[in-house]
Amino acid sequence: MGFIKKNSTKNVSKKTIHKNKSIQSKFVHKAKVLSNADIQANRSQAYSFLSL
Amino acid sequence: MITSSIFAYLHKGRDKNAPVPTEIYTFKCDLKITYIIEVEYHQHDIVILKFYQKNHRHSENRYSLLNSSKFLKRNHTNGASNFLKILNTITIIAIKIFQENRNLSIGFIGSPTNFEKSELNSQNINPDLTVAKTKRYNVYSIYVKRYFSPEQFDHVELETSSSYLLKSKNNKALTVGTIEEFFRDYINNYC
Repeated sequence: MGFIKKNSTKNVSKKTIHKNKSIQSKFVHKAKVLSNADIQANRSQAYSFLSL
Repeated sequence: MITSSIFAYLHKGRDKNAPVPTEIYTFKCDLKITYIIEVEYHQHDIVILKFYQKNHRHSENRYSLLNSSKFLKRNHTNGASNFLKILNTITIIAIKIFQENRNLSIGFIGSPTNFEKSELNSQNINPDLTVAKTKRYNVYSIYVKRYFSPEQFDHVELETSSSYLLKSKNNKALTVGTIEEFFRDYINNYC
């Protein structure tokens, strides 16, 4: 989207690796539940949490 | 204040062609581009949010495409404020659906750019061809930590696939193991 500038790599190979949709991967991505400290460390205190 | 900085959106109804129950929303941004938001309703009360430009809707890369530098330059912008308003608008939609069902957990996957999907980024590409820590994932992760309180949501990161789940604390049945299986199956079936 607009915020992220297009990376200019005109003269190098940009071959996209395509997925073989016939292969079902068993690869499991590990989930990490963030602690309050993790969240606070990665957010600006200038913003308030939304009241839902 | 987030609610004062959004675009007016429309709920267009259900996508009859989608493989899972999907509600469609649209809005037009400051750059006069119409965006389509897909809200997919999955098992375990998980919704997955996706969005793309309407003029990209026929592309299989629609979630990965970006505005070009030329386009931004022509519009005298770096796109940042417009982008934030886009995220704010999507957040308001997410809040609205959460308030209708407080058991819902809200997820997203930060789609890779075409560069991030290329051989040049092979060190971050997984065997299932997902991409770790994409730019979108990094940006969206910071954004949701800003607004979604850990008192109401567990923030669950799956960095290797650039996936994130705001797990409703009301949904006690949804475990970490179930979340991992969900995203494995989602990636296999829908990405």
